[in-house]
Amino acid sequence: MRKHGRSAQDITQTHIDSFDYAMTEGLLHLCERLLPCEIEFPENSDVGMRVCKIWFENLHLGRPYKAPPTEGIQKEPRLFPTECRLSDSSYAAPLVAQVAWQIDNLSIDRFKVNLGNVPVMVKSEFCHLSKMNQEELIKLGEDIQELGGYFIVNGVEKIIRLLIIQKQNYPLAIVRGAFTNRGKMYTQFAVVIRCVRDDLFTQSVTVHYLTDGDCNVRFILRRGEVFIPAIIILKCLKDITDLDLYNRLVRGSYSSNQTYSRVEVLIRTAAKLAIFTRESALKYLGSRVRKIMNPPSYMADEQVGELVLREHVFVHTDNDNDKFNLLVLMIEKLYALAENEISPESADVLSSQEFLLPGHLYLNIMKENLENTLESVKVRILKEAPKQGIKIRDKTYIQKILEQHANIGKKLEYFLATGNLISRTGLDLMQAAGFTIIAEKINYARYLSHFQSVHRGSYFIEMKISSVRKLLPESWGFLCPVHTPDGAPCGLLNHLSSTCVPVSKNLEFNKKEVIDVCHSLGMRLMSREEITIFPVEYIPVMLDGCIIGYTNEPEEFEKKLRLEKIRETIPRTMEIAYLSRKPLFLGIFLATTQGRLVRPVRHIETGEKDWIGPLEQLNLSIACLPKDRKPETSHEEFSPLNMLSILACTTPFSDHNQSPRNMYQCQMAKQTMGTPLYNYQFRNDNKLYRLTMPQKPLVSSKCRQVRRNGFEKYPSGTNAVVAVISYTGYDMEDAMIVNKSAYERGFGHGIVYKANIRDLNTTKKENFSWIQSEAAKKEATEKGLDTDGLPFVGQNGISQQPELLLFNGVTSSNKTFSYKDMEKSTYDDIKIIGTDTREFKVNFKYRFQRNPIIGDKFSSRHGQKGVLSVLWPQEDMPFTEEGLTPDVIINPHAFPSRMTIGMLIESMAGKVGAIKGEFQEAAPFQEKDKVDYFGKQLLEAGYSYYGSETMYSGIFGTEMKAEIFLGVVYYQRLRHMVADKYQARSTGPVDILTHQPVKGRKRHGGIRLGEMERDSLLGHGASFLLYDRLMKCSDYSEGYLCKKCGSILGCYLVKGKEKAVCHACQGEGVKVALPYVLRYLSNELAAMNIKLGFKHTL
Amino acid sequence: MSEVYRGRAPNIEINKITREKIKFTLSGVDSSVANSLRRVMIAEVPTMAIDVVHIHTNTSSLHDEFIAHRLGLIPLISENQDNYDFPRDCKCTGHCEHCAVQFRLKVKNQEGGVLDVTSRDLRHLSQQGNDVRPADSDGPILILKLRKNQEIDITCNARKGIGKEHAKWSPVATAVFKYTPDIYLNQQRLESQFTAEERKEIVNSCPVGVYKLNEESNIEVVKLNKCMFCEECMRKGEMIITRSASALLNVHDNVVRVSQLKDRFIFKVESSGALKPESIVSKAFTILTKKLDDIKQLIPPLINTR
Repeated sequence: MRKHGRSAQDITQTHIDSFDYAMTEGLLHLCERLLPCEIEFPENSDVGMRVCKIWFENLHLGRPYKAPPTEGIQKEPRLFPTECRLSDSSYAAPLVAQVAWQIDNLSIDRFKVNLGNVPVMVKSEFCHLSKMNQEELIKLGEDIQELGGYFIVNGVEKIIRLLIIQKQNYPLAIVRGAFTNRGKMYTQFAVVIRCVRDDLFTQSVTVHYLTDGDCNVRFILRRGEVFIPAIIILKCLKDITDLDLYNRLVRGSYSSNQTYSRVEVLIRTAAKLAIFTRESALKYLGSRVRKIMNPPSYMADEQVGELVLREHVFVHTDNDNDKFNLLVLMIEKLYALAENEISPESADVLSSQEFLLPGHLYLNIMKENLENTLESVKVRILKEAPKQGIKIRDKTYIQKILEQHANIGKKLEYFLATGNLISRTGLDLMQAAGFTIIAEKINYARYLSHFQSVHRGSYFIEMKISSVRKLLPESWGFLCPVHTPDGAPCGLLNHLSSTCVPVSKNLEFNKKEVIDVCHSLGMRLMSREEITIFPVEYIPVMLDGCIIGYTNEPEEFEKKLRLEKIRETIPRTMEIAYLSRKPLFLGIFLATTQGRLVRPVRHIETGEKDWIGPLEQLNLSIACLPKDRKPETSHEEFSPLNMLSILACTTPFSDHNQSPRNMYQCQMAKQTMGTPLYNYQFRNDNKLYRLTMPQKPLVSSKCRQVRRNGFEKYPSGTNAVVAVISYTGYDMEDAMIVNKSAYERGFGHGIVYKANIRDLNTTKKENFSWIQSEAAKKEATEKGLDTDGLPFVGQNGISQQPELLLFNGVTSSNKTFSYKDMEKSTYDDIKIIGTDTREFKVNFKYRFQRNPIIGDKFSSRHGQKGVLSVLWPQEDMPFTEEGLTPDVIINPHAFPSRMTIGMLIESMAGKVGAIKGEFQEAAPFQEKDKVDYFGKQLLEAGYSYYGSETMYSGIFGTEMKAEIFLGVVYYQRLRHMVADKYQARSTGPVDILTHQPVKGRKRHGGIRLGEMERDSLLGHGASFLLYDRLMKCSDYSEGYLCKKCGSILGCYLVKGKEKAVCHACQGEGVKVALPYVLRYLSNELAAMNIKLGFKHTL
Repeated sequence: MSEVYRGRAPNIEINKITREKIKFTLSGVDSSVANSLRRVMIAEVPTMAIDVVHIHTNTSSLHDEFIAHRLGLIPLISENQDNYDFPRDCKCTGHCEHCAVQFRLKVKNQEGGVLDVTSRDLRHLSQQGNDVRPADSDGPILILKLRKNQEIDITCNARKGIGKEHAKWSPVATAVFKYTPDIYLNQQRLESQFTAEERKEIVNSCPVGVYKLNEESNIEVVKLNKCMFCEECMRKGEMIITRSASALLNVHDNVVRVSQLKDRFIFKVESSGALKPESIVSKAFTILTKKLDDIKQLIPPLINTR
């Protein structure tokens, strides 16, 4: 198990581990569980067989390799991620299946089929980088700290999001009004369990309470709902007498509740259907689902019933007895809920949730696609059987068909590229889109946060109610309360707390051992064969959704079991949730499955680390600080910082800020220009930002959470001398003044890299090759290009200037391509991408120098953003007695309403750090009085206690009355830049239909001058301005108006004469200026038989 | 402000000169004059700095603009800048020996390891202009680093300019003045109303150590010029008084009073290395005078039009 805290690699480890598990063990289980495809031929067919079976015996995922090397040329055969990124291809490895096929239960034939190239997670076991050290990574052009955890699809890095889903194998008591719509007699009460099998196949089962006290079991079969009386399922699972069943459910409690009468109703339901034995129950079940299942004809109803039970009811266990016991427990819980003995549970709290891990989803999609493959092969064979006849017995024929239908690689690639799930069953998920996101490398914080982000599901985005978005105490320590965006995804998109880890590896243990341990600690074993009835004083012990026993001394049992857990005789991350008090449903719930969240806390008794889960946490008493300990406290936090995400930990002194400011900072840290990576030359991202002169923050959290994740190696800001003063007026309304000299010395300098790939594939009209002839070379030189037709590296790219000259073999002429961007740039790199035989893509990488200009956005680390309003000369800046001029001036009004005291403390701390030449600690929740700590040091260094200084006006040279607060604050440059956003035009492109200016900055369009803008101009009496804007610069047109009929449509100039005549009434036309849309409107109305006539005084 | 009107004569008194720093007291002038001097030193004393950079080869890991920017910020010894014209005043088109000094930076790392390219690798292209060279008396200034087989080949022109145009032409690191502090101690009251302990409190209240207790445990001003007008001592004095007796406060009647002499300025000028500190000051005066002269030139036509 991982150590407390994390290293940067640990952040993506969840993703990688889940993928590794899914593609190794997961694939094994998948093969075992995948039902064989049985093809049944009609009796009189000439195929020569009745039934043939096809199934996958073994699935093996390889590693990414290039096509076998051509002879003679010794090249690296392995395919590496860098190459995929540069060439816009996918990092994928072949999935090979061993297929077995059997005819009429005779001998089995085996052959291998390639199911296509499946995208592989970088740094997983299947990636070449997985075991490489830093030097090897650098040699391959990777970043020194390549974290992996993503896929590369068409050159884009894609992450499968962590998704919150219902906790598996835990029966949840739910009250929901919508349940009554499920049918007659249905009530709002139900108990739901989401069962997960070892191959990660998921199937939910709901037990509904009916108004008469009966229960119905609901599950999904092939996208359709099936409702079966609970008693039938019970009888299907076990040959049990009604008396035994009665005793088992009532457990001797006749006093308080009415369970016994409800159980009677239950039993009567079976009697009404005349079902008494297991066989008859199975037959009933089989007959109900036969139509949906469509099994082979030789299967009897009983067998179909068994199949349904095995494949769709409580799939997490294969044992019918376990299933029986679970259903009994669910019914008990349901009756307790209906009786109002227990309070309903909510699906929106973290204690009833867990995560869908990337690898698990991937495996599920793979499974469904394999099933679909078999299904489509079946359809194809049945269709072709009459034509092909005996040929179907041929192995190669089957192999060919399988290969044609198995394009699993492409399917998964589509899924990763679009995030859309195309599924028959829906995989028991609430959404069909939005599963993947692009891993943007804008800066390091952004990149890391992608892997930590957890989404509640896109289904909830449209929901009007806000209950799902609420920050609930259950998520303490698991999800960060600060790091969530504001606006539409608020509360739905969360981030993991710094020490919280989703369990993504299979715990290596034996269930039997756990049961034995429990037994030795005083738990009474639940027999797997006989019916044992425990009185109501005994509470159940459940392990992963199976009842393993009962205990009447739960407190002691829980304590002892926890000690065993800490001693590691049972898995360390096993969740021991003891629900001890009414109105909870009493029980001890043990969970060992994947996807659960765990986090470390200190077990006070032993002083050891204890990994606890959300449901477990609810029933423990955990002290945040030593002083919070109470008599019943059993656990203690390692650090109060553990409740925050890594990014939230980096906000300095965030415990002194107003909380929304910390949320804003978490957003802004992710929009900062910084140092996303160090391998710029091996990257071809569409847009890449770089701060040319980044600095480590003088004041930063040096807590484990931040240090371990390499934030210091990827800085994204500059330490700036900041004065808080209202000076010149250019600092109004969150504007900030920057010292011109500071700017000239490099403050905030940055670069944007953009890439443009020119695809030069051969088409009918084009077959490009490099220029060869002397004439062409001369032409290239004249156009300012190199003799190979490409520009020089370091040359400037200027709008509409040639950037590529190629020879077109089809037309035998040269073609010039020109630089498209409006902004000037420099050719940073030019790459030619292609196969061994033919080059077919040229990749231009441009470098845009983006030094700060007026309107660029900056921010401190406290949600205090501002725009650069002016570059103010140094000699005009206020100065201190030491001769220091601030780099940045911000207005004091930025503080009173926002209450970012953390920024003031950071300023003091930064000043101390700058004077002493030491980095300062800025983690939140420090015990010391920070203002006093830094104030004293300032005094010692000969500054005033609070860091304010006497300043002189740079313009007048006179002393300013007030002392000015001056210190050092880490400033971030945000990626929103004027150069990307400015938009202006007088006239320009217009819409064809209306002749009005087009929309959009890219198309050089206009900005809408809307009604309100028009109103304000009217209010000012600026009618000529309006005429200019809305007419002259918009859709001004001239036309003729008929004096007689007032139409503007019918008048045209008569040939040869200077007179316009109306075609409709022969009236005389006069020239008028009109907005073109008016003519358009007139035309449209004319089409509807409405004439638009104008009164005039002409 | 009555003292402003009394008759006075401007005076300069030099307190300290080192290789990179000068401290002097300017007295008998208003803050406007002092500030003008400060502003001219920062923004208008010309120096030479690399301005136009031609990059022939750059296979280093740094990009062209970045190297050019770094080259520009290297201080060049500009004592002889009078020999050069401003590019805009020069008759030549492009550059000539009257307005530019050309350098070449041509380095290739052939040995392996990491090779530092510093300001000492900048070579003059011609004999002329040897007086303008990087100021590296404190050691060479690092420009970039090269890995094996990386190469840099640059020619660049140093030209004359002023800090107003770009900070690289500013000859000063800091140029600053402050008013001369004037500290009044009411020794009589200090002795009568304050205990020795309380006097010590006042002495310790000063963050920069202006005061000292002498043998008789009386307060003495020892480092007057260090005072930064934080008024901590005044506040402490008041505090002690209010602590002992609830007297109404009167600042003018304070036991400790810090005020400023508004016509005496303590200047501190640190050079960037391009010019000697004293020549920055004298150049600044020359420029100030020239500015006034330039304005004076405009007067005759004004009179003639009357």
